[in-house]
Order: sequence, then C-alpha cells, then structure tokens
Amino acid sequence: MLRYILRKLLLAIPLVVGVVTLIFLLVELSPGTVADKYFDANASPEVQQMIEAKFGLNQPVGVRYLKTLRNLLTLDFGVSMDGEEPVFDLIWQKLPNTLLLSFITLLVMYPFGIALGVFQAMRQGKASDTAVSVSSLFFYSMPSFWLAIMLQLAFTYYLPLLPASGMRDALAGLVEFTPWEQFVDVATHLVLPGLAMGLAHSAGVARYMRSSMLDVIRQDYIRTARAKGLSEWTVVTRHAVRNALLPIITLMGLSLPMLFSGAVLVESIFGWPGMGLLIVEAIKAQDTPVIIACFFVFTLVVVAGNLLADLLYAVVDPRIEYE
Amino acid sequence: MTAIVQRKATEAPPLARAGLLLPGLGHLLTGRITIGIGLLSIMAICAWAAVAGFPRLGDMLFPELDGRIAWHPVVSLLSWVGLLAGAWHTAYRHAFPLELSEEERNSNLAIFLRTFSNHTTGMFGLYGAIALFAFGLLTPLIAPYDPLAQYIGPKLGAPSAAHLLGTDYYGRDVLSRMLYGCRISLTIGFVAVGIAASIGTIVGATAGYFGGWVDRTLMWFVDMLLSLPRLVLLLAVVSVVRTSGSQSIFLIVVILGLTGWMGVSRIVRSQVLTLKQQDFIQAARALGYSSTRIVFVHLIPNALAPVIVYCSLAIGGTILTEAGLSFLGIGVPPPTPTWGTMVSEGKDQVQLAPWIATFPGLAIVWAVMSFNLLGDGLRDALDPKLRGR
Repeated sequence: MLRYILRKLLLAIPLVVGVVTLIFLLVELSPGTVADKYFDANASPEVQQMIEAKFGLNQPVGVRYLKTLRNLLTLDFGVSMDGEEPVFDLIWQKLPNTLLLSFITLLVMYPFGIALGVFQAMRQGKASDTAVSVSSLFFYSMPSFWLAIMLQLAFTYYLPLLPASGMRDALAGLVEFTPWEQFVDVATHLVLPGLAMGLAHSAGVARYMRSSMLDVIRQDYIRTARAKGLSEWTVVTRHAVRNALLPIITLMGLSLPMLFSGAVLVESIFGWPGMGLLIVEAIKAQDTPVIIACFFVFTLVVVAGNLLADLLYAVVDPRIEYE
Repeated sequence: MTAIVQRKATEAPPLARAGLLLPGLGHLLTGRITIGIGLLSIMAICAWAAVAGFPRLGDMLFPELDGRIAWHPVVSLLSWVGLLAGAWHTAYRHAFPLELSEEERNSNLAIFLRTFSNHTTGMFGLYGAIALFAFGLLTPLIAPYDPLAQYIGPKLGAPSAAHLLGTDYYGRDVLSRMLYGCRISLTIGFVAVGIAASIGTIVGATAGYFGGWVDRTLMWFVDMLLSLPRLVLLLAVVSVVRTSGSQSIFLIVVILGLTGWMGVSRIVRSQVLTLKQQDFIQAARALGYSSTRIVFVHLIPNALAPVIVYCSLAIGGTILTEAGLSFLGIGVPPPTPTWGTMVSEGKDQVQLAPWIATFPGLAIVWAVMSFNLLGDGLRDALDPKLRGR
C-alpha cells in the first residue's frame, strides 16, 4: 500500500515539473517582457536595473528557471509584482475558499447525480427516463457563467432569498458573529455559486451513472441476487449501485480540473475570493510569480485528487491489487 | 420517417409524377402531407427572405461594402443552393425510395443510417444543428438590422415588434447580434475541433502504433495537459499571445484547437492498440508497407468512428469554452458579436434588461445541446454494443 502511494507520488513529480516548465516557457515567450509593464518609459536606467535586480529579471533564463523550480520545491513562491505581497500568503488565503466551494459542490452534486442516474437506469426507456435524460442534458449544455447570472437574477432580484455575491455578510467584520451564525452566513453564500458550478456536473454524473448501472444490471450476480428472492430494493442498493459506483470514483478524480475551470468563471461572477479570481487577476496583470505559483498549486491539488481517487478505487474494489 | 410509402416511380399517380419537379407538391395536391412539404416551406422561406430582405441581398453579394461580418458571398450562395438541393433530394427520395438489394440494405452505412434515423433524440440534435447552420448561412438575409449599428433602437429597449429580442445598452438589436454570433460560434466550434481532431488522431496513432518510449512520452505530455484546468491554460496562452498584438477569431480558433486534442489522442491510441493486434495489420506489415502507410491508410480509417462521436460532443464543449473566454473578455475582440460577449455585456444590466444576457445564453444552450444530442445519437448508431441503451 505504502509502496503503491510512493510510486504514484514519484510518477507525479515529472508531471508537476512539466507543468511548471510549460507555464514558465509561456510566460517567457510573452513578447512584451514582464519588465516593460512595470517601467515607466522615462525611468532612468538605474531604476530599471534596480527593479530588474529585485525580481531577479537580470539573470539568464536558465538560472531563473532553476531558481523557480528550487523555490517551488521549498514552497517559497516569492512576492507578487503587483502588490509586493508574499504569494504564499495570497494563495494561503484563497485556496481554502476555492477548495471549500469545489468540495461542497462535489459532496452535494455527486450524490444527487448518482441518485438521478440510478433512478433513470431503473426506468430505462420509460418516459421518466427520457425526461430526466433530456433535462439533465439541458443543464449539461448550459454555460456555467450564464446559469450563474440567471440564478443571481432569480434568487436575489425576483425572489430575494439569498445573498448575491461575496463569501461573508457585510456585517461579518463589524458585528461579532456566533460560530453558528458564521456557518449559516457562509453556507447561504455558498448556495448559488455551488449550484452554478455543480448542476452541470451532476448532470454529467447522472449520465455516467446511468450507463454504468445499465452495465451492472445485466451481470450474472444481479440475476443470482434476484433469484435468491431478495427484494428489488436490496438488489439495487446492495448489489448493483455498489458496483456501478466504481467508474464514478475515477470520474471524481478527473473532474477536479473541470471544477477549477468552472471556478474561474463562477468566482468572477459571485466575487468569491478564491484561486480562480486570483489567477485571472494575475494573468491580466502578467504577475509572473503569482501565475506560476497558482498553476503549481492547481497541479498539486489535481495530482492529489487523482491519487486519492486511485486509492479510493483500490479500497472499494478488492479485485484491484497494488502492484 | 416511419411510414414511408413504398412506391416505384412508374406506379406513381400522375399528379405525383408532376411532383418530380417539386417533390411534395403532388402529394399536397392529393391532400396528403409528406416530407416534401418541408421543401416547399424552405423554398417559401427563402423566397420570402429574398423579397423581404431584397435591399440586403446587395450586402450579401458585396460584404466589403459595409462593416458587417459576412462569409464570402460565393460560399454563402453555394451553401444556400446546397441547402435547397439537399432538401429537394431528401423529399424526392422520400416520395420515390430507392430499390435496394438485400446486400445494400445490410451494408454498414445503411444500418448506420437506419439506426440513426430511428434515434429520436439524435435526430432532434441533427435538426437543431441544421437549423443553426441555416440561420448562420441566411443571416445576411434574415437579420433585421446591422449588428454593429448603434442607437438604431432605444437604449435597453424591451422586446417589441421592431426589436423582437430587445436592444442593448448601445441601442443595438439583440436578435441581429445573436444571428451573427451564431456564425462565429459555429465557425470556431468546427474549425477548432477539426484542428484538435487532426492533431489528436496523429498523436494517438503514433503513440499506439509505435508503443515503447514514444508512447510513454506522448501520453505523459497528454496527462500533463489534461491535469491543467483547460480554461485557465487558455487564459494564460491567450494573454501571452494577445500582448504580441493581433487578437482575432483566427487566433482563438487556433489556440482552442491546439489545446483540445488530448481527448482524441487517448481515444485513437486505445483503438490503435487493439487494431494493431489484428490480422490485417500483420498482413500489411508482412507485405512490407511503411509505417506511415500502415498508420494513415490502415489504422486511422478504422479508428475513426469513436473520433467522429467525440468530435460532435467536442464541438459543443468548444462552443462553451469559447463563450467562457469571450465572457472573461479575452475571446473574440469586442465589436464582433459573439454569444459569450453578449452575455458578458448583459451581465451588468441584467436586472434592468434581462433579455440581453438571457437570449444569447439560450442560444448557447441550443447549440451545445444539439451537438451533444447528435453525438449521443451517432454513438448509439455507430457502436453496436451500445444499441438501445
């Protein structure tokens, strides 16, 4: 088990290095050099040299590349060029918010999608199956940013039930909130972004689950279970769903990059203070240290998610052995 | 498509024979409604559009005279003729079906066509996509206003008879902008997926056929790109390229194509891995064919079916991604109307004028859903194992 994890981790190293190299090259290839943006055209050469020295821009590309790698390894992300804040602190503030949004979305949307898929598979070919299929495809085809705007319009303007944006109430900084009030505050702010990000996901999960269930339901062990005289409910919940869930676990690992992509759009609409908002701002400002650190962290989270999915898969499916 | 009247041309009643000139007319005269009615209505719509939009016919022929984005007039006219010819042929074959031999009826293509035409949702997707293309082609004729002209209507005007879907902040007609946006989305979707499919097929086939370190390196690269959130990667690439000056539809298409091939390459690779064990590849090797020939002539054509399905689904995904990029303001540059930009522009006035953001969003849903339904239908028709699921 431990060796399996170690091997997976070792395999992840070239992946992470590759990503960092790719992003480093992208930023390097950018024709307007980063320095141009921060120099006044009239600035004296001494000032230019000072700033270049400060961000280490006067060193050759190779040295900077190796330094970037070394710094990332020690989690020293440097300071941002825009606000001169430590990038580590920036990410430390934003990452939990994005993870909260993503994982809550995952936790709510996966069970919902799975339930829908099972329901559909049990009624394969009937009108209810087609109806759910078509409506889930409708949500699956929906741009998350548009859904976000429509949800905002519906639930904050026409039916003012939920807060429109942000993560905390405006009062949260001024008035003392009890832990319960804080929880409710964040939870109500989570609903709309979570829905905007998750509805398409749960539709996708439902599609997968449906076909996975249909695969399983034709197996001999299901026929055996039915022949034993077990109730249909037991057959479905104990025998079919458990086996049909296996491919869904892999899907869970793969859906992290997709969730982050969605987070970029949804966070910018709801003003959710997360990584998506951070990286969009950084890319617009060509803030190299922040861009590289964000991609690095994204990749780490994705790799960790995939590893977790692999492990979960191996735990759930006893047929799989660690080589 | 279910109750096809099987009748040879010679047995057709005299009136129906008159319908040879205009399929459907004969049946209509005898009081029956057939698919030919579709052709008649398309012709009627075209005729109406030609008359109603007569001043704009000149615009279509000489697009460089005004600021609108028009496809090349020859392409536009040819496609128009093609649409009519296609509809005529369908109606004609419907009235006088081909006499097929047993062998022809059991050919792969015939089975595929039959399965697909019985796939209700797949056909809906096909019709949806065809309708989008029709809108795209006929846009210069049916768009009521110039999509770029400002203050032709009231500022933030609600939907009315003059402006069916309302006007935006600059008094531009939302319907006209949406129709022109349709062309952009379709062009971007098709060309980008075309590029992605070509690259992905070649990479996947190379990896699968040669195996060993080639396979490992290529798949490592694919895994690396797949572990990045695509939108964020696109953001980075576009922002890098954009600083170099030109930012055009062409650029967005190429970038979307270059970052979307990983899925295809995985599919092709797994296909090639199973195909290359089969006898006909062994035979080709024994005959001394070159690797290039085996890959391009023998492997890729046999691995294409799932690629076609994937492409149909990917067109929807690409349209979504392009809309997302435009929404973030780094897609197609602003004066050009695209659906994503329109939603983005309508975002700030969504409470005052919800129609600006709502309708382009629905258009995106329509386009993406059509291609997804089409892809599902194609998969069911192409993959015998999945039939009826």
